[in-house]
Amino acid sequence: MKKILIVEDDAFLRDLINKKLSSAGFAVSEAVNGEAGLTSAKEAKPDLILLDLLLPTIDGFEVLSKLKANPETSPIPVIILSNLGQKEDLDKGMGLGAIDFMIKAQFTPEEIIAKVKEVFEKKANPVPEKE
Amino acid sequence: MHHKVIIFFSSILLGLIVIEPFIISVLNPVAIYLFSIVIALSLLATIIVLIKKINSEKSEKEIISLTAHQLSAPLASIKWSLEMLLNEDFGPLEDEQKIVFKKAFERDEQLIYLVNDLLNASRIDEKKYLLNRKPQSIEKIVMAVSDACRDDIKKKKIKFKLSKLSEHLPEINIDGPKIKLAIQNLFDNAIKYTPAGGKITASIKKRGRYIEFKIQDSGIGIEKTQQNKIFSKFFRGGNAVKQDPMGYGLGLFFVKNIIEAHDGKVWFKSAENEGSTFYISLPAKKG
Repeated sequence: MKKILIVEDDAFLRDLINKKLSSAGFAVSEAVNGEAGLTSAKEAKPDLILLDLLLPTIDGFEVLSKLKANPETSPIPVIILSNLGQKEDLDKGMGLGAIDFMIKAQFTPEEIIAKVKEVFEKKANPVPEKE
Repeated sequence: MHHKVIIFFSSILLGLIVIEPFIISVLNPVAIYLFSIVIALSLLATIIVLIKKINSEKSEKEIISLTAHQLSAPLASIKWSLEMLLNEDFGPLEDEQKIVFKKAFERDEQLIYLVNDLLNASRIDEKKYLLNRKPQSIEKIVMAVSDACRDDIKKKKIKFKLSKLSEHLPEINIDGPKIKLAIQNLFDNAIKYTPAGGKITASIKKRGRYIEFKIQDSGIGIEKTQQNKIFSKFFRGGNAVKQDPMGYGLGLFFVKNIIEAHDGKVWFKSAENEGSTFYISLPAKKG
């Protein structure tokens, strides 16, 4: 069973996505802020992280940089969940190593699950590199 | 503010600089000294006015950006919870419940688009904003909007007719959701401002190198002296405010913005208490 870590400070959104992920057969762990997210990532070694950008103390970008800087957590794919879709945020997130960037208001939980499954699919069946 | 104030101060400054060499050659040192002070003060005044203008623009943008952020988070949570309810993640639903949740979901999506548009409009200063254009059928969009409005039209017992006046309407390169929002705004206005038992007719046709959409209502109309302001941001006609005190005055502003960003035109004919006819024309070339 794949493990997913949700780093999201909004309790309502966190509960909704948790329920959706659990129904889809994933093991879910939650973190309510950046520091808790970093600790949980190091200890639980999830298979994927859903990371909110707007967090109470350290912001999502800083969490992402720290995750990628630590060899223990850097291989974990991170999908950013953002409130707004500013191009600068998208470029920054992808530049820091996120595997995808989703604007919360433009996707439904169903679509987020589909994206998560897609990431695992791609990892399991990587497209062979052309010589 | 204040374009006029800036131009005023800049002109004075420029004038003074131009006549300075002449002044220096004919006046005594004291006069020259006083003259230089006048130039310095004009320069200072111009700079202060410019800084104030930049600051006020900046804070307006910051306020809008902050508001957009604050609004989009709860809108996203509403969207997510409605989708999960509709998906029966919280238990089976009756058909009637599904219909209500679906409508709420659609209205919420519209709000999400509105908030995004508000943010984009403020960032790009009333000019074109990022469009995601793909060849699409505008006929399909108009039909989707009119279907979504059928219940409201029925409730007000309004006679509604949609006609396609040209046999073949080519697909055109448009940003679907934005054009849908524009058409939706025109339909919403027609329905809102037409009294019960009234009449709304809409049509689409190809007119030369353009596709023209027209919607005519038998509503309260727009008073003649207010007609030239109708597309301004936050403007609402006096009779419209009486009818519906809750409106924002953004609907037509967005319509104009969206259509002009597509190199199209929007215009209208209206007479108070007789009704309004709004026209949109979009270039029919795919390019």
